[in-house]
Amino acid sequence: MLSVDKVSKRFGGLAALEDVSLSVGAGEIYGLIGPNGAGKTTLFNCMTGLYSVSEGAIRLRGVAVQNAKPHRIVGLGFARTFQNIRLFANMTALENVMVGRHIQTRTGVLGAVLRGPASRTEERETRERAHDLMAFVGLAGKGRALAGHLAYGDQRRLEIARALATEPKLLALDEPVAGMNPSERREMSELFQKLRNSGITLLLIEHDVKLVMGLCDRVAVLDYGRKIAEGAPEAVQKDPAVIEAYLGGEA
Amino acid sequence: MDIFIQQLINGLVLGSIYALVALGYTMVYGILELINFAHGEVTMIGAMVALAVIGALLGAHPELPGMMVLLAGVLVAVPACMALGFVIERVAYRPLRKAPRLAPLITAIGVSIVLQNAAMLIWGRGYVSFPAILPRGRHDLLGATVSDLQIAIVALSILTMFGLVFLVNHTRLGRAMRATAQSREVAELMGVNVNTVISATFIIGSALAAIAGVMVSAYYGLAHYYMGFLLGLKAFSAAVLGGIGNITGAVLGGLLLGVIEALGAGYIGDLTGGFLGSNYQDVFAFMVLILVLVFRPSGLLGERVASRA
Amino acid sequence: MPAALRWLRHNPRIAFGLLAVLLVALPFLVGAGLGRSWVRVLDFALLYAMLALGLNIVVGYAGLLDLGYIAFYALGAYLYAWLGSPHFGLHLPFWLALPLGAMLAGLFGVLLGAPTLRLRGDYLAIVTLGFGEIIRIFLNNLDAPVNITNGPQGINLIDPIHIGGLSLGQTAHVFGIQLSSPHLYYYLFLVLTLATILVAMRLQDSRIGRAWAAIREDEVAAAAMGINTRNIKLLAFAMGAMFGGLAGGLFAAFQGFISPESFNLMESIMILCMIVLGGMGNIPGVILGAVLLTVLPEALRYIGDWQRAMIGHVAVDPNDLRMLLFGLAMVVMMLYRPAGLIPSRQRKREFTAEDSVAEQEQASLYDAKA
Repeated sequence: MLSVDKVSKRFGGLAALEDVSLSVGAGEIYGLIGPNGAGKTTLFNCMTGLYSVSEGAIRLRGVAVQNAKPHRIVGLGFARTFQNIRLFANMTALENVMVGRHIQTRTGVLGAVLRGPASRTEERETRERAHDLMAFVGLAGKGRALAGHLAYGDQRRLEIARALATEPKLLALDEPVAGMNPSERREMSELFQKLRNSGITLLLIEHDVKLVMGLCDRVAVLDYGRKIAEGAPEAVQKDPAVIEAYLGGEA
Repeated sequence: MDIFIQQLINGLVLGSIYALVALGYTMVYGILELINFAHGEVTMIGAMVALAVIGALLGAHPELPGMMVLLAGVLVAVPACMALGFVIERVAYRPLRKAPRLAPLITAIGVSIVLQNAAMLIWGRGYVSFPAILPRGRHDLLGATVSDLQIAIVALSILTMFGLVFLVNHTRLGRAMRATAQSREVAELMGVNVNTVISATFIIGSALAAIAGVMVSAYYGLAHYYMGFLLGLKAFSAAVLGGIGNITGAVLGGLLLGVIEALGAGYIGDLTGGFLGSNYQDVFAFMVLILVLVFRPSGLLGERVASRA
Repeated sequence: MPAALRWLRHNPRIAFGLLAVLLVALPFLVGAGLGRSWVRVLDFALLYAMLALGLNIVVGYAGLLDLGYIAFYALGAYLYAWLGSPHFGLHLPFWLALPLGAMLAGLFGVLLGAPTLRLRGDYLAIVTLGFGEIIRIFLNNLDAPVNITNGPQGINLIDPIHIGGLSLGQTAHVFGIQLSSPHLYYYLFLVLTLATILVAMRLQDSRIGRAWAAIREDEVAAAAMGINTRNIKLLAFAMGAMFGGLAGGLFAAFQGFISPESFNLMESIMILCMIVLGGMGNIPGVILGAVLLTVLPEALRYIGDWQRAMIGHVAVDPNDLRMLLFGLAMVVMMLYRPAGLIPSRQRKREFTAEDSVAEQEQASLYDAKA
């Protein structure tokens, strides 16, 4: 599904990522963990086209996408959410999801102005699909609220719905349960299972090790921009390098 | 007479005036990330006030030496502009500091219009000419002519810029300004009174603008209520060319723009086979501005400003 | 009165009917009440409404600050003049000249926009402002060695619009009613303004309009949702330019004469002010802004009369005073009603800036540490 091959990213002289390689298989839930500042979000941004990579290759379903524009990567079926929630705060929740349909729809200026049968149908389908996705993530009936006025947990869910609207094969979630209480986390975990069951590959950045361990098929651990471990959660948990990184990070 | 050297000299003189005005843009931008659109108008007011004082003094005491009259004009114009800069920031920008970026830009345009039309009401629609009180000596330099006035303008500009650099690098206020430009929040936490720093920035920038205004009116021999607009736009282009927010960049950009303009105006006829003449002089500043922003938006010495997406 | 308004709100058909009658009768009412010159003011109000609606696509919808908008108006006007005046001896019909002008303006919009649209907002403003000035300088100077624009004198004797056998430049008799040229243009402009409103409304409420709004709100997130931000921004820029070019052609035909003077920076700023004053992004607000700012400077011409009435003579030239008042109004407006007279639902919130998202970012930061 996604393969990252020896990717490095430097800001000025500072190496944020060094020789990171990993591969995510179709249908997996793949976890990316590591202490603060380990380079997880940087890697996300490289994969989704927000940063250019300094070296290395990224392949998405066989297509080389390092340094491709973000919209092209979305077009190849790779959508994401943001750690610091980047909703269109002044648009309604439903409009946010409808924006996500952009790439799945065609209507141009002429279609929009003339409103022929094709563009009317498309608009109706966009709206219906957006409603469905809102319901899927547990936001049924909240479509008219402003995105910025939603409760915090709902904003996280809305970001997922908006990303799903692009019809991704691979969905990358950047700390999707940050700031949530245990029961909300449980609900989100169920949502992730539901996503996997509907055939979407998930890539998770998470701090909550317990959630990652219970949910992910495989995890990779980043520390100081390098991958220090990869494998099944139980194995990784016992890896001395990982224990060192986490204990060292907290000391 | 060597046209190239002559245009180079003219360009450097004009460029040092641009640099003075550009410094005002760049300092405000460095600290507030705001384009002080009204800055050109402050320059114009500086010229107008100085001319009014000079005219009044000459009317009352024609026997006074020219340099003294000029000095009196400058000494009134500079504090007048400083006060104006202070008021503009307080009235039009400070209340909108948390507003979207468009809002202060629009009040800035409003202030520009007010200042222009106020100047027109006070000093009339026509040109105000600069009285003949300046030394008129001319010297030969490498086959070109340099006037006393040109030398004075360049010398005074250099002096003013050194003063500014000293202020920014070696005083308490300068340190506070640099800290605020780095990060307003952190500076505030460190005990810097950010509002005072911002006011000071506007006051200093306006003082430079006043000096530049007097220079430009002395150089062209006239002042006009509309002169600030084009001057301001060119100086802003110079600031962008050098890398906005960067003080050395503003000076460099000003000089470079002056030279480009002078050489461009001198040679455009030859370059286009007579199709375009020197009346296109004003186009160069905008062309440079657009080209710089397209190919090197950070300017010559600045950091990247173009948003990546 | 409020009762009547409420009743109208519940009977939209009747309200629309009344509005239609009012719009049709307006030039006669205005002509009879205020004098014939005011019918021309009315025409200009419609022309500016079209221009402002076009700029609103760029600024209000896509959030791109364009201070050189008048350049596109100028391009449309000059192309119309070149194709329909003795200047080149061409007399193309309006249905050809107007779209060509819009296309030329749109082309220039793409040429200017393609390299500059990645710049941050206020930089874009200055670049477009520079572009506007460049166009004006060229219009002023391209009379020699080849006379293309006729320089500062401008182009004269531009063909009026002919529809069928009817010339809008002359007084006509329709159904026994005498209609002067400003009356005829009023109806043409009214139809075109309504069409512009329809286009703007439909664009706003469409896939394209949502993409514009998304870019305005958060460009990075918009790109991450699969929007080709560069192309969509360019589309807004070109659309706005085309509206500008179209309005420019109409202006040339209506006025019969154009010169670079009509296309200075002040005009660009005026149109921007119409949008800001009325309420950015909101169609009724933009129209209100356009009408107010066309009528207000005309009304302020009476300052001279008021001065005579109050202090017996004209102390200050009204022409000098009105722009001063105008500038003051802009500043005061921005300070006290930053979202405009009729703010759009979205803009109002943007301007009141309750930063709930930033707060939550903060919250998530603390959480991550715990």
